[in-house]
Amino acid sequence: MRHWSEEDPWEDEDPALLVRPYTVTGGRTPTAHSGIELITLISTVRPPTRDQRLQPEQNRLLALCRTPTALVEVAALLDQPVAVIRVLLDDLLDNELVSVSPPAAAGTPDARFLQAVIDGIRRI
Amino acid sequence: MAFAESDPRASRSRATTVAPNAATAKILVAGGFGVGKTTLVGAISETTPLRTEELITEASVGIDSLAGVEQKTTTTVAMDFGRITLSSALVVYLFGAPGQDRFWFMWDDLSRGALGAVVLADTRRLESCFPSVDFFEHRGIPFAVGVNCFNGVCEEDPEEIRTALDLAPDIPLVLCDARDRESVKTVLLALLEHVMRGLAVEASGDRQPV
Ligand SMILES: Nc1nc2c(ncn2[C@@H]2O[C@H](COP(=O)(O)OP(=O)(O)OP(=O)(O)O)[C@@H](O)[C@H]2O)c(=O)[nH]1
Ligand SMILES: [Mg+2]
Repeated sequence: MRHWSEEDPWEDEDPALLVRPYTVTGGRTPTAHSGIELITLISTVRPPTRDQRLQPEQNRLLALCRTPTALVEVAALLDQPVAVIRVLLDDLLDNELVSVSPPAAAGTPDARFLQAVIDGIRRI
Repeated sequence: MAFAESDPRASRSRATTVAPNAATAKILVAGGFGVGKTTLVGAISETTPLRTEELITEASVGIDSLAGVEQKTTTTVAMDFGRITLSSALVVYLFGAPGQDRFWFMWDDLSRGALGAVVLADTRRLESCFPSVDFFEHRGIPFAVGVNCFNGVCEEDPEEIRTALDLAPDIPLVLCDARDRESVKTVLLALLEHVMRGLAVEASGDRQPV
């Protein structure tokens, strides 16, 4: 029997076999899509096509993110570490099934942005 | 997006549907053990605080026979967060996380891109917020101190607390009730206005004579 890390993650017919973090990710670590932060919003763009065989966790993510949802919230609601969600996202982004919100500009915040937050909190 | 609106989850405790390209902001809530961080996040969040547990691999140096050999230990660190949807284009996330020394590596990650931090203090154990104050001071991250008055009234003199914490005069210090939404708003606004003043100072300092 091959080690799980050598298996094609799409090969598995039985979605119920899927389970543990890092098994879920096929042993991969996220690298491809940097700039995704804890508060980056993930949004489902379209459902997977029939030949795009996703893992159950990825299908759950797509269902959840029909409402734009921050990475950290996806992790909490799917009960997986953030690092695992990042890996699951790599494929979904490669297949353009999800989009991510643009990263905030680095460094000190912009005064207009900050003012919008202040006004918003005053209003709620 | 049409399907986002028809999704029942769109109303997942959030009055406004958020746009996929909405801007997001992060505010940290730090402080000693049991000081009311989760309570504060919950008081203002539109959801009950959610929790994620992160597996973090720490390198530690063995003290036993394998002297000097690096060992990896995996620690689970929990953080709470809450969400405030200010508009379809702007969402604020509040993160509460443990303020113990051994978790500072996590604060480094968390504080990247944060607008600023609220350090919660409890006058009965003021020293428990010292590490958080030190951390944000050293990293140059703007912060405000919220003094959580557990019994609803604070008899302490804010100036005495300021002195005890050795706070710079410009750092906001607000007496608050972490359970009370309006009180928490006051703390957040004190922080954000402090951040804004910092921006103004920076801008005037950077400006070249024309
Ligand atoms: N009476 C009173 N109780 C409070 C107040 N704030 C928090 N508590 C209570 O104090 C306890 C600790 O509050 P938490 O919000 O869990 O504190 P925390 O800082 O998140 O704690 P840790 O995450 O364990 O470090 C809880 O039982 C709260 O209900 C307050 O303002 N007044
Ligand atoms: Mg807590």
